[in-house]
Amino acid sequence: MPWAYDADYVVVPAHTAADRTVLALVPRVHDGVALGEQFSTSGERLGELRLESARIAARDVIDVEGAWEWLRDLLTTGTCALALGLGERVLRMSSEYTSKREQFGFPVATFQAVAVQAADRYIDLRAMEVTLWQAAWRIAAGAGGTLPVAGDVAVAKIWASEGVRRVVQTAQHLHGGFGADVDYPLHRYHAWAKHLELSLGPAAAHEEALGDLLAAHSLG
Amino acid sequence: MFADVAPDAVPSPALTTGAVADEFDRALWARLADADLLSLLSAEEYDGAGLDAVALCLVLRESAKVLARVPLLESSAAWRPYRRTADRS
Repeated sequence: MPWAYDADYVVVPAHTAADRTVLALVPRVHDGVALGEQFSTSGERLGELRLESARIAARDVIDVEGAWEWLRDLLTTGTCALALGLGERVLRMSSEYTSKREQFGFPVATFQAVAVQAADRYIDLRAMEVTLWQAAWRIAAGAGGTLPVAGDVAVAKIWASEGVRRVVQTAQHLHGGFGADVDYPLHRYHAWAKHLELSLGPAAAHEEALGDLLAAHSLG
Repeated sequence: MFADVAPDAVPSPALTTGAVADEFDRALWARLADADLLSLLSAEEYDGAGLDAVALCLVLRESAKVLARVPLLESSAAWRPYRRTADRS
């Protein structure tokens, strides 16, 4: 869990005996609640929540139908928005750097291989953007579609995970040795990108989920 | 809001064992609160902006450009299920 040590409460999805998922609002500091320290690739402290016979009041349990699914879909879509912003800044850094860096007497941005890779990453960002807004709109408007909202969210996360990974890899490539300089922020963006790529499921997990949805819903 | 946030305000993860910081960016969090950006999804009757997932994603996108170290997504998202239950009871 990101920011776990700063949280006052944690919303915990839980399966009930009736095979439903409810949300429990658990205080971080509470009997039976413990946090185990973890560190993300970004260097941020995460927390592994452990619950042992933790009891909370019935009024702190949210059992509204679909509450967990809505929360999960929003968190996943929000992660896609973070990936898009990060990717956009990283591509801008790459274009600024390659416009200035000269080799053989020319800015490396004028070399076709550099331009083609940057252009491909621009296309990735456009795909990330359009799939993001599709998912966010489905959530916001409660709009129907051929697949449930979770399908559009899965598509968005697939593009966000793969896209953000490609953008930072290309950025490292185009920055050359300068990208490894710890005084230059690119490596921080790379570390965050890895966290976002994997957060709430990498592309493979969402491809599986999408496959299940496609099998269950006729597209015709 | 995010334009003057430095992405390298905390030590580099490449040079740090353990956490790069003890907590999130409290100063930015306070500025976000003052700008009413911490209650985007809350209903207007609870002093929120009454906005939706699209609005939240627009703000998140900007925050990530500077690697803003704030739990904006988590806290914004957590309020809604809580509010929907409170509304019912």
